[in-house]
Amino acid sequence: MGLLMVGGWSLLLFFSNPKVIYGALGAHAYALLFVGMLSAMVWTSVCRPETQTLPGFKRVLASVWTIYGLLFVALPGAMAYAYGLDGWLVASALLALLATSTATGSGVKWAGLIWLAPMLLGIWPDFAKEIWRTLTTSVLAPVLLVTVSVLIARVVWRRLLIVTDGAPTLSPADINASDLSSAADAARIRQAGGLAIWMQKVQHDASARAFDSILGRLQQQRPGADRRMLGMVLLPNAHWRGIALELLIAAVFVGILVLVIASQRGGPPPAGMAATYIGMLTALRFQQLHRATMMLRPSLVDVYFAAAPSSQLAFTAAIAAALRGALLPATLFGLLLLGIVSLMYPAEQRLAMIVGGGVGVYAGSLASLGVVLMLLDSERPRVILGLVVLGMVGAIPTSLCVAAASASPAAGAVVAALVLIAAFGFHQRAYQYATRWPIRFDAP
Amino acid sequence: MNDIVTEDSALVIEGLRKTFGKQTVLDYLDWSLPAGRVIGLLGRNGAGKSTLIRCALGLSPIDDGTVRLFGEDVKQLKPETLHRIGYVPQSFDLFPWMKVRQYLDFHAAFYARWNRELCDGLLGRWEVDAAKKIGELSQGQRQKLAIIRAIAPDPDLLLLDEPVASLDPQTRRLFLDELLRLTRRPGKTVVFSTHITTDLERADAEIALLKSGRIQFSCDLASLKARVLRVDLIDALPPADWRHPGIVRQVISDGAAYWIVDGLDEASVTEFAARFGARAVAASLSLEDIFIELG
Repeated sequence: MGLLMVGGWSLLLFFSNPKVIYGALGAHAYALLFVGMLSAMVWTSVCRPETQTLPGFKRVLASVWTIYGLLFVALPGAMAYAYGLDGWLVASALLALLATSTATGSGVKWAGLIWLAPMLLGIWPDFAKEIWRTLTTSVLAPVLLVTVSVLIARVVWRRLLIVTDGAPTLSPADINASDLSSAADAARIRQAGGLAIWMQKVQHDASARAFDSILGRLQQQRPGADRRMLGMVLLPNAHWRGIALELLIAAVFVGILVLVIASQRGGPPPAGMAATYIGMLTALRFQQLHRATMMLRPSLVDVYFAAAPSSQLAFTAAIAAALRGALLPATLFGLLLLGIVSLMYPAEQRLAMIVGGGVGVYAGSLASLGVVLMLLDSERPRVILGLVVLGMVGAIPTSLCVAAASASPAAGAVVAALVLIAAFGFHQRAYQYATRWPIRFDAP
Repeated sequence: MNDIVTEDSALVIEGLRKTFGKQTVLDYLDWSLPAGRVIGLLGRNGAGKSTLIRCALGLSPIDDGTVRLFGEDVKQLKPETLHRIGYVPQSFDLFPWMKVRQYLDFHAAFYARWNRELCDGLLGRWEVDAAKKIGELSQGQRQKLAIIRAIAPDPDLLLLDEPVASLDPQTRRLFLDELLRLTRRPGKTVVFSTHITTDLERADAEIALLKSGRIQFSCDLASLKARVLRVDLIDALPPADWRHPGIVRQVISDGAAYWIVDGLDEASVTEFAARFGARAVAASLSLEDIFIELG
């Protein structure tokens, strides 16, 4: 990776246009956001109490940080200097960006608030300009940025090396859940403090009530109760209370976001782009479902013996059918987001966004679930593949439907029909594919 | 050395082969379990005990061979046959959000025969809080819960994969006694894998040794102890490179020598020793020693 970075930056020496270096630095900064966040997520999962007892663990982690600093901060800073820019300022700004993104990825509870800053600056552009002018002219700006970065890095370092003994709290096979199953995630919930703990408790209580209700039906041997119970086991929050709670939480956060964006002088992004992003976001929820079905496989043995299906193929089909319970909450989530975000647009665009986007997110969810079903038999979770495929599967139908609905109702109807047919077709094929072989009970 | 396959065998495995990549874990293994036995499946770490149990239950795909449970192909077990099986896996991670009581009620709803009294009694005696969430239980408590769940439907075949691995010695002893008291009944077959030999001795279980991908032997403890002996050689030493079938190991150290013999009668041993002018004194071994020598 180091060689690629050095090689990539060296290529810029062949260009004399300063726009190229500005563009490269912008792209680098944008990529750095994701590099920092994703790397911090990996570090969080690696920094367990057990691994911290390994000899030289902290030294190795510090070495990784140093390499990141050299590759992602010092190298672009040096290149900027070579082009006659203020290398110190560029390097310190990139360092601040890297520190901030790693803080977000490592689950530092206030880190999310940092991202409100650019949004707020969008509301007060004059203030933003003043800050920019000060930063680019003051000789103390790099010192300030480095100091802030070091302080953030110190917090991240301590967060990574925290020793906790968290236990699994919820079924991982729940795309509604706000928490995951690993100890690190449980610790993250505790760190997040009162609101997260309260939300978790409400979710658990709601799941327990829904479970008792289905259990009653099962004990009375009501038709379909066993199927619903299997769904409950796999998706413990996919019941009306759980869905309502999740939608409420999503509405609050998205509502705030929309208010901030609507207040910005530049106005909201194009409706089609916003809808596409929502479609992608909805589909990406299925990545968690995919990961969870992998993790749950060994434990499904318990359900297999209890449910005593007529064959393992029948059990696989029952699991695949139960996973369809994830469709409704995902679609409602997408619809809610579309509904709130559409408030920023004129009435005619709003309708196209809600109706077209609604069809799009449903089609995207159908297809995404198909992807999950196709990967049901894979040997290990396909994280990158899943993210890329699901992102596309979510974005394409939503963008197509919204674009067509914006053009004319007739075009919207035709495209919606075509997209739905394609999504249904893919989903059905995926379902047939997944149920051709018995489910694996092996751990991934 | 395996038992002859009978009509009332709970489990019959023939030519079972299981590989993980290039590694062969089970190598054309044959094994049959007559109904009504308590069998301890012994083997070193990585010998394939868990894999064997999972393959025997049809939970892991196999490369070759056949597995029959109660006379039915394991791939096509009838629902009622599945309810005759109890299984305790090595780890237990599902339903962390569920309370213990909910978990047991959930299973009870599926089974025609579910011993609720036994369930409640064991929860109390084994100190598993029914009001707690499964995610809040310790590993040992989870293991106990998994066992309660497995024996509550009164299964005819109970397979336990390292069931006492997470328990302390006192609890393990009490727990194993109770488990065997509950399950050692006519027609009930129990298989538990372990590498804790004292548990097997106390349980007075039949021993099946899994080694090199096969069941090396399956017999009761007394027969095993009569078969595998330590023979001290007195007055003279054998040549260092002396080998003979039935002599598993020869140790010469500090002017003394002994053999570990498997399946040789006393007369043969005495005759071999006499070839070197030595006298043979045979002594029985503990199961742990036998496991170390043969495992």
